[in-house]
Amino acid sequence: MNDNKALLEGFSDLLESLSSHPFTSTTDGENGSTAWQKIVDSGFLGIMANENAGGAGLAIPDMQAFWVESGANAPEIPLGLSMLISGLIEKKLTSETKNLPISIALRSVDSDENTLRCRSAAFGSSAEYFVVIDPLDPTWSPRLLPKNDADQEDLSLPSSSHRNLTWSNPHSFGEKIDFSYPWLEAAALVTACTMTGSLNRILEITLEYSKQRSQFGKQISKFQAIQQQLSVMAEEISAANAITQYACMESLEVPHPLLSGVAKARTSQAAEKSLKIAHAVHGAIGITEEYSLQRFTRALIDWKTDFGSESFWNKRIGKYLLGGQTKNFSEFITTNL
Amino acid sequence: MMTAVTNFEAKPLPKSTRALREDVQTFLRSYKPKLTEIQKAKSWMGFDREFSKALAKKGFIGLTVPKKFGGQGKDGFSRFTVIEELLLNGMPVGAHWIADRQSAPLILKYGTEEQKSFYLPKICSADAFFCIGMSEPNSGSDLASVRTRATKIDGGWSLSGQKIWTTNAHLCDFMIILVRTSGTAEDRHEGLSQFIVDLKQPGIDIRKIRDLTGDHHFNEVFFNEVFLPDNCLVGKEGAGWQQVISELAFERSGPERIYSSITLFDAWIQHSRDTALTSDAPVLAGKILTELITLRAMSLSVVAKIEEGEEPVIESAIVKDLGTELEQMIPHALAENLATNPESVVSQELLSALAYGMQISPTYSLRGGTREILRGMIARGLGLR
Repeated sequence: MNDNKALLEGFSDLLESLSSHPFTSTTDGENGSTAWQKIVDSGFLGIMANENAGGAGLAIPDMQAFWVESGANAPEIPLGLSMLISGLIEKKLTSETKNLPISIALRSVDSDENTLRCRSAAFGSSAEYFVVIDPLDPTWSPRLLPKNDADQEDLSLPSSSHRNLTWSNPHSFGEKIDFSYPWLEAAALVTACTMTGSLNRILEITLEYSKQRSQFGKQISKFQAIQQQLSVMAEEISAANAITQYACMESLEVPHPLLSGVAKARTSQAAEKSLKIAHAVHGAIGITEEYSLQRFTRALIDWKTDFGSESFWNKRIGKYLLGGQTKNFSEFITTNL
Repeated sequence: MMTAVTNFEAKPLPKSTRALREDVQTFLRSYKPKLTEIQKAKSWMGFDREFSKALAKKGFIGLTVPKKFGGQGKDGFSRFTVIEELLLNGMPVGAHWIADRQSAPLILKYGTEEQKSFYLPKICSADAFFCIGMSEPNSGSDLASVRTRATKIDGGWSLSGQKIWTTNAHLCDFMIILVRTSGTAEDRHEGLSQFIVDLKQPGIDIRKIRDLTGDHHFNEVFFNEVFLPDNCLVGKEGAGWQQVISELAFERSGPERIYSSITLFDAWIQHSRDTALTSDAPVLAGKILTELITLRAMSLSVVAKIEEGEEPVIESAIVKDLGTELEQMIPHALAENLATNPESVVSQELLSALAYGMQISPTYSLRGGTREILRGMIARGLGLR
């Protein structure tokens, strides 16, 4: 892990140097595309690719910190997912597609042989390509598809990154990805890490604001009611940091089948509690477009339900436990952790 | 950019602890009396001298105490493994719990060679049980305001005053007490010291207080000119406050702050499997499991910090606050689930244990520092005060 310290610092520096660019979209607008091009030029997109393919060959345990950094700096773009996908399907990517932002989208149950629908696709606004997976049917082969071929619907809410995407011609359903991989767990784990980065950032912003803002003649950070709230927020964010690190560390070859969902469930819970407190401490200023808090809280709201909500994963994990493979929690630890 | 206190570096339990865990499991299988669900739910409130002695014989007490003082000379991860397994099985570990958790580390850190040689072997063999003398009638959360006083006299100290909420004082051999040795309550953190008090000394009056479930573990302890020889002072005179803070880090971070309701959870899982599974059971089971796994990772991270010689006071407070919240949530959520699904018959044993859990669980966020005090400490760690 220490070998990657310099890489991680380089990645941090790069993202911080781009912080004046709003990342509103990767292709719409000059600033956004400039920022993405700088990321492409840096080579970090291929960080998980094999070393003989020009990557750094990093595995999931090494990646937690990079995904956290992505969420702390660039919540608008699918940077973490693009790094994951580039590593996984590098051979399927052409020179044209390999440098584009790629996200993962979930095949909706109302898809059929003529229509492939994805509802509320994550990073629908900023990704150019999608790996479409079926969250319920692991036998359905994922497809790599360009957004340009899809009908796009922006949910009538431009401030959400979600888009409904529909590919209506079976011939445009794209290339099958024919190896088996726990895509949903991977997407959940990357998202949990990215969320942790945004959570770290909103804690930093909120602590800073609470020390600057004065009411009733003193800094609002001096009021016990505010202190107790910020402590709760710090506790939740500590939990997110701990569980994402733990889940990544235990994901050696592939994302851990149980811990990836645990990480997503716990981080989604932390996000809901934390973003409410962050906005409560800020008051009206936090709701404005020009203030940075909303960049991260809006993303957190989208990610909370992306790739399985808190209860989606809790239900899966609970079913496993109730299914009887292990007699009690002690056996669960011995078997799984 | 990360705020330092929220950085819980993950440290999975070393694989080398697996053999030790199996040893504990084997021991529990051979020894275990049939415990009722209520007995299991009491766990580290349960006092069983014989069980503690049997554990000591197997080397499961004083794991981190050096061998020359009768311990096992192992690391904190080994201790975590043993106490985790004991708690998960709801074993009555209360007799030696305080001595093993915080008295032995305190004596090891601040005691004289004479004190280490005298007390530590007795703790490791379960021949000396300890209780904690911190709270007083007018000093609860505001611990620095204690008024019980030790006055210097020839060859020792004279102790007078009163402690309260002293768990198992009536069953223990020694108390480590925090008292004022100079100045007044207004001097706050200055002038406090810690002593080891032999509870068989004349001048000590222990009176029981029953708790709301009818159990007797709390006591009031009165001291009337109790003579303490000089060699009872632990650490430096006047340094009691710093020593207590370091002791509390041991008190707050362990798995007993996560697992107080674990046997109830296991019993409910078993019940849910045996009856027709309700549609709301998986989400609830998963929610609790998600919290448990996360808190366990956090607790292990604190163990790692203690191993590296740090004093993770704020991190311990975070684990304890989140942990006790889960411990309190579990019995209520399980009882709620069972009462929502009247189509399945629930055993009286499980219902009684859940009722016990719900009644006693308010103590979980009181003992060892209240929720509000912990959050104040975390706020200080965040630089807010």
